[in-house]
Amino acid sequence: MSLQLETKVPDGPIADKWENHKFSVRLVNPSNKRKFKVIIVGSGLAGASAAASLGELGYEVEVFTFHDSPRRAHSIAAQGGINAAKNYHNDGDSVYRLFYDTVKGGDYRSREANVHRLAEVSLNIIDQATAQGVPFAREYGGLLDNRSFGGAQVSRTFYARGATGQQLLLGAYSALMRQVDSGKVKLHTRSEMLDLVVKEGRAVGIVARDLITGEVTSHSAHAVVLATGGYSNVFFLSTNAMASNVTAIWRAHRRGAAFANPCFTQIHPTCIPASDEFQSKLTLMSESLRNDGRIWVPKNVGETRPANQIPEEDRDYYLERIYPAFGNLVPRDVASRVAKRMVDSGRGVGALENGVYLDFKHAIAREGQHAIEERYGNLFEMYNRITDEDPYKVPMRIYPAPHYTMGGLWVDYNLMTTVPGLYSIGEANFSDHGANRLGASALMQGLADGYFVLPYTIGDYLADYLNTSPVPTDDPAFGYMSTNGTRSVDWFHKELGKIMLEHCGMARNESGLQKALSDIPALYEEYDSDVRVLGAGDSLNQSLERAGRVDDFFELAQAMCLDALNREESCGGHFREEHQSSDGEAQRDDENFTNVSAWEWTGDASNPELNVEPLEFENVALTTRSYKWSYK
Amino acid sequence: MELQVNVILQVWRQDSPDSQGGFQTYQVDEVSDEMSFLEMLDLLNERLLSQGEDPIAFDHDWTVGRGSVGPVV
Repeated sequence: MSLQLETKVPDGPIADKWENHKFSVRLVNPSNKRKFKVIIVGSGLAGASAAASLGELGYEVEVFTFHDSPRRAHSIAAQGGINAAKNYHNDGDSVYRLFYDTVKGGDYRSREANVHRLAEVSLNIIDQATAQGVPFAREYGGLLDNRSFGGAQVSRTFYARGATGQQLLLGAYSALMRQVDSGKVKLHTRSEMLDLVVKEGRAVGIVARDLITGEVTSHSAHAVVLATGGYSNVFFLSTNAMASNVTAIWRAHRRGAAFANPCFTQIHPTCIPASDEFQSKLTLMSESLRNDGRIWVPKNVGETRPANQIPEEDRDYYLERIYPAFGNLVPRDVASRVAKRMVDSGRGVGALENGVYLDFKHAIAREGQHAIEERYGNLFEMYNRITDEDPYKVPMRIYPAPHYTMGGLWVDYNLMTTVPGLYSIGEANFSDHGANRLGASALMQGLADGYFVLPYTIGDYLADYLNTSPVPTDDPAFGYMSTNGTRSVDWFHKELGKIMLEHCGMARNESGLQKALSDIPALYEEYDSDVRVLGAGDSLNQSLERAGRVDDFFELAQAMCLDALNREESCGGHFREEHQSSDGEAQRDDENFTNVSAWEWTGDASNPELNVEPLEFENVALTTRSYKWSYK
Repeated sequence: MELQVNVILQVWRQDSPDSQGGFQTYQVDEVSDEMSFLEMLDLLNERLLSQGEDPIAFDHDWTVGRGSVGPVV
């Protein structure tokens, strides 16, 4: 272990840590803030909210996004909602309960202090968003409405129909554009970060490429913040937008930032199954549908009747059967694995037998079609457009798909990575969700980091650099490849995705991971010699953009498999087949793996160095995460 | 039973903001009816690339009126 993983978690009782920390961190006085420049890469919920907040505070901010507008960021795709411990339903919720649920839901692989802070500031997020005019759903009396999500027994999810991410992003975008308009934030659209610049051990800037002109430019700052999202596209087929990639955080990793828990990836249980081999992305249907939909497969292998002609006695509502306490609302990892088990057992539905049913028949009979339409109208319409099936009349077909990555850059309590001056926020860091993220917690974390955490913590670092200019950067020019092999970048990406889905997806085992670790470098070698990228680097060239991203996915894939191989236990989204009980439940190894794996780049993607941050649980007792009968 | 169609596309191609652009016609044969419009463009790009032609640049992102809106059809 060569890295010092100092968590900087403050002392004191868990409920006081953040309050005390906010008081003890150094401040930069208002007139000095304008002397500091901060670069933010990414303009989703985390990036846009951070940029808006830092701009409002008075810092000089530059935002880089590879989209044509910050509104295109993938946060916009989040459907179901955002958690907050407001307890509006008076159903027993509290900051402590949200904290508890999140730690438990993450299968005890997250840092207690970070999670408690997240639960605390969840309250502020709702107030902030409401003040911005985000149209959260309201009850008849005018109060904000809540619904329940997987992994919780209270209703704490705020939502704006099925477009919560979109509405929250528009709120953050409005706040950001106000700063752009006032000149505090400079926005670089269509600009992709290619490298992090580190001088004397500190992050001092980035190198970016203009995607339209191909021009490569250097930008310096006192601190750099990466808010570039997750890496699910390593699987090729995922619910992430096509452009989502690991490049920014991976290249920061190559410059010294430790990468934590890369094998902690989440498979979302409710996506529309692939309909053909050409498909390049999967569409997610919000998990909130599980509030009213009942999941089932036919009892018999080889069932050929259409769903509506299968009588109740021939249906297996398997989640309700196996997990009577949580039923259809078991956490995502559990729902996903059991769906895979059902399909693998030959009871999959649809033409390709690659899905399970999500049925609204009972909810419609109970509450009427209008009520269901009110809650999920746009989701039903979307499903109908994609599949040409009417979910009001026949059950939806769903199947799990890669969706979110809990792993990411290692950060301390201040959200700073192992490279001083480099911060990572939102899905790009590893901090709050442990081995499994609960539904509606991604929006919460992105906005918590951007609006309420980073604006406090970044000042503590910057205070040391008052009256210093950003370091001028004159960086090594980037050599671009233009190679005339025989296969496209996409072909290689698809092949890599197949290996990852097969061996590092919903279930993993030693021999599969070993096989992946021998197949990936072989394919990578072939990629280097046989990929075909036409055109030049000095103009719009999408093949070239993708070539760089897929290159990084090849390296990341190896880190994921090594991490999955090293973690000899099953926890959350990481299910090692060797570590399960006789009835197929995940078995953690708390003695040896109550920790964070933080991988350090050594120059060789197949041989990174492992550093370990031990996790201490002072407030939550580690229990076996069973959703079968009782809550605690 | 999968249905296949042949599609004729007219696509605006332009090398750079300053260059003169123009429509080019492409025939895409044997397109599965399960494919989305964007997947068909992926297929065409694979074919163009194998012939040594520059692929068509287009944005494809999230779906149903959000994210990037993709090409104008």
